[in-house]
Amino acid sequence: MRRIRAAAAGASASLLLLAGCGVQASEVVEAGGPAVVPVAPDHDERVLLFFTGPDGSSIPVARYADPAMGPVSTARTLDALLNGPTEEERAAGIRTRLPDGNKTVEVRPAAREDSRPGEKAGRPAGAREAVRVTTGFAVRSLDAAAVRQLVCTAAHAEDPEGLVKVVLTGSAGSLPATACA
Amino acid sequence: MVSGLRTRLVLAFLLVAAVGCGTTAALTYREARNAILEQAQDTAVSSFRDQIQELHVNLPPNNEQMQGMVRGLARQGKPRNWWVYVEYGSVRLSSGTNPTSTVITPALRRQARATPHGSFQRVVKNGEPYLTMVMPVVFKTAQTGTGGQTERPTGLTFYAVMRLTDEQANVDAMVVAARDGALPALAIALVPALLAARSVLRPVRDLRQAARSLGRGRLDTRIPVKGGGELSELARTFNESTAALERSVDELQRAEARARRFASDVSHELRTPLAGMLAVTELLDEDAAGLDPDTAAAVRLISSETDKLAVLVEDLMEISRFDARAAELNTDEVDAAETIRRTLQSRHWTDPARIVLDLPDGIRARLDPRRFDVVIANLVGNALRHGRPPVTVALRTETRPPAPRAAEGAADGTPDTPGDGSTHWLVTEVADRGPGIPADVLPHVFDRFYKADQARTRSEGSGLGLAITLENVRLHGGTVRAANGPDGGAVFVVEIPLTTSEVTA
Amino acid sequence: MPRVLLIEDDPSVREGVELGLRRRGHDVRTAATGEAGLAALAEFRPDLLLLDLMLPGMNGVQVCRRVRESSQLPIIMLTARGDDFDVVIGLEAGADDYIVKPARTEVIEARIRAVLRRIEEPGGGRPAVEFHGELAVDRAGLTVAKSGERVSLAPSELKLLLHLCAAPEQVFSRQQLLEHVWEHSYHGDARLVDACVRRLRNKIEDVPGSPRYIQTLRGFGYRFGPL
Repeated sequence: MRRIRAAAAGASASLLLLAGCGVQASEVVEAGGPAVVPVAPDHDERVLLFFTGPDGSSIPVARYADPAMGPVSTARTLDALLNGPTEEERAAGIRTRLPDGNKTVEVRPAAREDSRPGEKAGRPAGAREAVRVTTGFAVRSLDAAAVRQLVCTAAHAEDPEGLVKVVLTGSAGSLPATACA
Repeated sequence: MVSGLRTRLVLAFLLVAAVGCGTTAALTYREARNAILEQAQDTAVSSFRDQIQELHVNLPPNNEQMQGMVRGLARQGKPRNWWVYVEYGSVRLSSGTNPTSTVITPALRRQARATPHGSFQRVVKNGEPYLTMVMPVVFKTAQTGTGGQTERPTGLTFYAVMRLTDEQANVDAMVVAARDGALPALAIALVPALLAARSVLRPVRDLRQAARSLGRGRLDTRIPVKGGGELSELARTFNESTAALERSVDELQRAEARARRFASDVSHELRTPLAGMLAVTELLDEDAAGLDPDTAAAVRLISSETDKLAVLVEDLMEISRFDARAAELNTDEVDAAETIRRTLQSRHWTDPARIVLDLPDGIRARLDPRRFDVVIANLVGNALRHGRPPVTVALRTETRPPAPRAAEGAADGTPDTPGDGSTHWLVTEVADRGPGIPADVLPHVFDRFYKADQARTRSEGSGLGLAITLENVRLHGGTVRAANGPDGGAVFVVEIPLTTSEVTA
Repeated sequence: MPRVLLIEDDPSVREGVELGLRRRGHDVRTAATGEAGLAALAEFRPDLLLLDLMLPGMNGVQVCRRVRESSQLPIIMLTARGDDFDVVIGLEAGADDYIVKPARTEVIEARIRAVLRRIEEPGGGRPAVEFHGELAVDRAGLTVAKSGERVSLAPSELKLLLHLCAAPEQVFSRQQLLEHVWEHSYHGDARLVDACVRRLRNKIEDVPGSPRYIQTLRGFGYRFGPL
């Protein structure tokens, strides 16, 4: 009798605990995608430079580029990246992880065997599937954030979708072909 | 520990009801609460996302721009007001006074950075529930409208914090509703619980009554056995046991009756030859003188033993009549002192050196003179035989307050009740100056054939004298006690209720 | 010496009592059955009948009634104590006394003498015949007449009446009457007195239920009158 009662009491108590009373705290729950916003300046009037936030995250900066002057080349875009964030951008906490100093950069198409033509649909005809970026400094010693800055900036300069693979070559060896993620 | 079968049954029933109610209520409550919260959360998150997607963002946005965004978002708070926070690089801005929220947890922040997804978390702070949401902002890198797929984070992250007080109120209301529903349900459950307990306990109550009736000596008590189950098993066992008990008690009673009958029959059968023998003992006594000495001695022995045998048989007959409840009380109203004096006189116990009397005259009592004579003669004879003279015989009356002594003293007595309920008693005391009665003998003095001295196998009496005395006093509705007096010597006290005839015509 | 007829079925009692009484000089005749006893009655003409209550065939009470139909022969019943009911019936049937068996011969003889003893004459100077209301009591002739008609009384009834009317209006307790009329001990059986009073009333009272002559004083006893 006593045992049955104890068991029943225990069961009911745990049920009540399970149900909880009122509104309980919860874990972090994913709920749908992010917010997608239009960015100014518009695609045709900007260059996208990928800098780094204070916490190492990637922060893209869209700088105005007059479309009347024609498309900005990848090399020029990378030059702008290497020159670092502007005063205004710095004020917002935007930084670069790339080394100061030798700012020479050269962009060439990479070996075609890296990928096969026509494989990726929707890409504008004539777009290169991979580029080789050669810098005046060593790329092997760069951290992941710095590498991502170069890769993403180069990829998006080459292709609005930013799907082009980039091979970084520096003063001391090169890195394997990488896509912006 | 709760005692009582009824209480336990009711409690067990209520417990089952409570667990049932509670489980149902708890499950329903949980589902309802989760539904309420999910509704609120999903609405909040998606409306937060929708509102952010309305924005146009410069990269990087300047502080005024961001401030404008959070204010705008806070104003459009749907379904209700929220605080909006924005993080960009090292910039922290909010729609309120503090640039950062104390409610938003590091876990939510980490989640926002790790995956490009909207997320939420319920946080309870200071007893208040909040919904915290995070919404990372991305943009499409390709020309809008060209079907480009690639999205890159803008570095902007919006947070919103919303009170869940309404939801809390709803949930609380549900708890109250569940409680208010469950408690009356439990109260209502008490009724079937009591009914069930009653029906379960009825056999138990029957059993109790039967056991009580059995205790009162009604051995023919039986319990009706209904249906099956443990209780009817119990009833059956009870019935079988009582039947067995009744049989053995019957057997015992029959055996006892047979034994008594036998004693009575034996005495009866002895009486007839004894009557013949007793009629000729005198003849033997007279002629013994003329016989040779041995024959004379033998003849005298036969004569005297015949006398004793006659007394013994008479006493046995008397006891048999008491046992058979055939003894009658033929009362007459007599002077108590006179009656005692006559008893002593008829037995020649009149020597003042041996018998001291304290017999006040004028006490009239309703007695059976023959039986009272036997009582006094037995007690005085006993005192003279076993004690030392002088033997004191004292008579007095006592008036006692109604309740305790009288009730215990006389079960059958109907003593005079002079209005106030008190009773009158005739008290006769017979005391001797002997060594008194040993303590181990005292409880047995009224037993039949009890011999205080085991070595003395035959006393002068039949061994039934005091037993007959006790029965005679009881027949009068009185009591007789044996004790030792303060100066040694045995004291026998006979108490008989005084009942005088109410009319003296 | 009195002639005694003993009716007793048990041979040992019959023989023992006969032996004992004969030794004391009584003329004893015995019978084993009631019928034989009644037959012997006319021929033997005893002074007293000793009658066992428990007899085969015709029992003692029946014998007693039969005897009382025609004579006032003194009758003493022999009984075993405890046969209380039989004692009462025997007394109602007209027995004068009873003896509880077993009894020593001296006890039996004493009872016989008591029953046969004539009541002592009160002091001289009294008339032979006293009149109490309609009753005429002849102490010398030991006869009683009511309204001139002879009333036949058994010896115990006669002795009781003579004793009571010798001292009219004096109260006698049962114990006193037992001692004086029956010569029993003080603690004898008061039913003897009561049974005898009932029988006497049936014979002399106009309405036995509300007696004039033999009156009861509850708690004390009986008295004669007052008329």
